[in-house]
Amino acid sequence: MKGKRILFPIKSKRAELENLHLLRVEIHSQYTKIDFGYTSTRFYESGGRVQLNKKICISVNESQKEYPLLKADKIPFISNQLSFKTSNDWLFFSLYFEPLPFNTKSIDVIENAADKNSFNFYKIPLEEGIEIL
Amino acid sequence: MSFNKEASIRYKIIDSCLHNQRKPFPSMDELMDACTEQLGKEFSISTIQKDIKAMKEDEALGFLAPIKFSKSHNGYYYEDKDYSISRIPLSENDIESLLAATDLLSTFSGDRVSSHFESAVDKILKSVLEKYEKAPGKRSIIQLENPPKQRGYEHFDLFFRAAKERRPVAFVHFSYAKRKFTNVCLNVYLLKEFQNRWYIIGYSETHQAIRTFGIDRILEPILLKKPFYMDPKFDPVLQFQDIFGVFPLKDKTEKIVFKVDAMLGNYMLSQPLHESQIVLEYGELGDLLLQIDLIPSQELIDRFCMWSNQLQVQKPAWIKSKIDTLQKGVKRER
Repeated sequence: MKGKRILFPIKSKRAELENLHLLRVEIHSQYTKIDFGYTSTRFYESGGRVQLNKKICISVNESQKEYPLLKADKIPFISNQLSFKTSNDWLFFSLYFEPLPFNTKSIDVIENAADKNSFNFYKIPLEEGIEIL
Repeated sequence: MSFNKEASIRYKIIDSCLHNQRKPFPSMDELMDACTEQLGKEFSISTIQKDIKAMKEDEALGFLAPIKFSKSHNGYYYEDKDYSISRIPLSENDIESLLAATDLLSTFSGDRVSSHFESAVDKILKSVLEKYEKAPGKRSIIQLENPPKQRGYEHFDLFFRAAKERRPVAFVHFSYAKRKFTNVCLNVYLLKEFQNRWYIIGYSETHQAIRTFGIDRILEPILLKKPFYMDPKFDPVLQFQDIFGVFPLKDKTEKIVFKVDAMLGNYMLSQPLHESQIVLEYGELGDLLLQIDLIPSQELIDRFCMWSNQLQVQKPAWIKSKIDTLQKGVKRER
């Protein structure tokens, strides 16, 4: 894969869901990749389940411009769901969005702002980016 | 330079002269000149004659080179044009040993090592087995452990490259114990195997310290374009000299005293847990009181738990209590 790639490791930025973590953002000239970590909980029987709304998007705080989802890796879209087997399970998944400008300073990632159970993250600073080899 | 080493270089010089197509049939003078030119000293006719005789006849040397002298060309040549001392034919014993070695080597292909090494191992196996095919029906007589593939093993090549080329790596680590994801930036120093599991060791910029990560808990590693940091205090030998396993629970060594029954005692005597292991007391029935002096590790605790029906830790109290707690936990879960 050719082209400049910048990685932004995100420090402990939590969603309203405490067991969902936005871990890192990678900006590439052709896409923006965001990695997430999810740990299943004892709150739901057998760890519960996860699914994603295709309308999830990135919103750049400076310009308010939105960048839609291109594809999801290791997490299904609504109408399908990934059911955990136990409350000890965990999931690492990635979402690919349209490419952000390399000089982006801060973003929101919104699945459904009206729903606290959705994958919503606000004001994620893109600082101390490291160039990928 | 020792005599043997110098003679060995002369054999190679003579061999290359006999293969030189631009100057075939080298004379004695030409062989002497070639040796003088390359080794920077003069050699007598008798030295070169002895070299040729040794290359032709010395069985211990093993070349048995088909060197002949052509009167018409006044020079030496190989009767078999394809012969070279760098392609020395193998003896029956050599071939037997090589085939046994390929058995061992073959266990290092497949899941034991990465594709990076596998292709090299595969080339060696193919070239040996093509040339010296095993007798039909001959069975393997050496079998090594061949464990199932470990999760994360697909990243082995990347970490090998990172350590070799001194490239920092970014990855997400998932801790089984804390159930927590962490971003890590690691300067990789060492890839270590312990009990069929692979671990990556290096200086973590995230933790500002030397850290060990199980490859199965490493997610999507990425090579970074940034300066590599080498911790001058890191020594791969010292790092693991006084530890059983890879995850230390303390900074310093401690004397650990434990009692084993007679059956386990046999195994502990035949293969000590650590080089520091000593017997403090021999029981009348064969039970033993043993002591090891090492850095306590998670792997040591796990091993003690595995042997809990035959082993009892006496000192230090914190290890005894840790094992008790772990075992009570397992019983409660059941």
